[in-house]
Amino acid sequence: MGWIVLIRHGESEANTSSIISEDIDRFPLTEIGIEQAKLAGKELNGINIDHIYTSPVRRAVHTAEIIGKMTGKSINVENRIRESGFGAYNNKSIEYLRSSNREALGMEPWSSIVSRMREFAEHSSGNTIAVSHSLPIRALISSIIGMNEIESFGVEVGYASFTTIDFDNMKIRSIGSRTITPAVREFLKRNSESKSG
Amino acid sequence: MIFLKRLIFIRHGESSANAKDIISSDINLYPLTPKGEEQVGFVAGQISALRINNIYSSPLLRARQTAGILSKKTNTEIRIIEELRETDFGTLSDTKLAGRVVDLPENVRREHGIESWESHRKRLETALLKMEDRSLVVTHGLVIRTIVGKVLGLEMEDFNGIFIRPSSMTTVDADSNRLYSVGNFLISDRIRNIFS
Repeated sequence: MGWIVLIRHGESEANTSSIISEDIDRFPLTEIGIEQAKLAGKELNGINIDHIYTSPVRRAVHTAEIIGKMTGKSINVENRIRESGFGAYNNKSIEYLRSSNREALGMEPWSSIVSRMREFAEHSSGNTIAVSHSLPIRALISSIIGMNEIESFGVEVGYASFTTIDFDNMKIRSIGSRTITPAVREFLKRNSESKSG
Repeated sequence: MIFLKRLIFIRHGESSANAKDIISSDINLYPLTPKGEEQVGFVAGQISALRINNIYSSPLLRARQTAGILSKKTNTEIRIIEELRETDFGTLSDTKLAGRVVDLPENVRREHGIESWESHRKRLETALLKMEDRSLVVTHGLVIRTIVGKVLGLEMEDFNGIFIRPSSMTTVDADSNRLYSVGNFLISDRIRNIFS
């Protein structure tokens, strides 16, 4: 079935303004974010990639475009890996996200995020890069490890970081790592079921 | 027969070192701040409903104080385990560091004589042999990262995306390598059942 490497978008203007946003067309990457995306693309050098999917949100698309250019692969927008819904708190302070009761605030429930991320993952095949967001990435790997929202509070993947899932064994190989370490690189190369075209 | 070693690793509360971004391997400097005491008090309240048999603690002041607050709330005695002590920060000890030691590149860590990951693994193994099922383990960030690495089967550099905050809980079964919670502050229903 291959592997999935989830890459969180680079730093964006939403992040530097401490705003949470699910808006498609706002908040591009900052200069730092662009550099982060380039470094991520560089780390992927030599890795056999079949597909690159991206959340439709601008900071993710921008990150994916940079990675796509560097790896020579086209990108596909995938709605299921989009940012969490933020309800009435869309474009408000990130402080609201730290609430222990996001659902009560009308934000997208954890179960909904888990469900769409798992659906995406289960329908993927081959070697997949997925550019997504912090909470959805946390939801997917926590659900694989067996932790719920409360239990997984300490999971917080950084900008343009790598979160690797070995789908055949339902095993997590990295969580928000800043580089692709030798061990993970070995795994990605060893498990290259490449289906070209 | 199923062997269990259910442990809740708790990072000490905010200390005067944390408040100033100082990292320190010193045993007796840097007590909990008032905020740190409050944080631990909150977690102690969460844990008071669980059936806990032991509290193990690092010998450092901030850990012993944290264990003291937990001990009072759970009516459990504290046992000091030397191997749960803070990381040896080498020449960086008692200096200011913005950011985490785990994010420092390997050559920088080696240059400053910071304790290796292998050393953390070895002493954690020793500490685990001394610990019984149903215990709280009060210790430090990198020691807790070491148990996370052990149960998930990951190298330290492979999980930068996990944050172990002061006073947070990381719940494991060290015998079956299960991770039930990481760096969190609320007891879930599942964990309440595991420790009932």
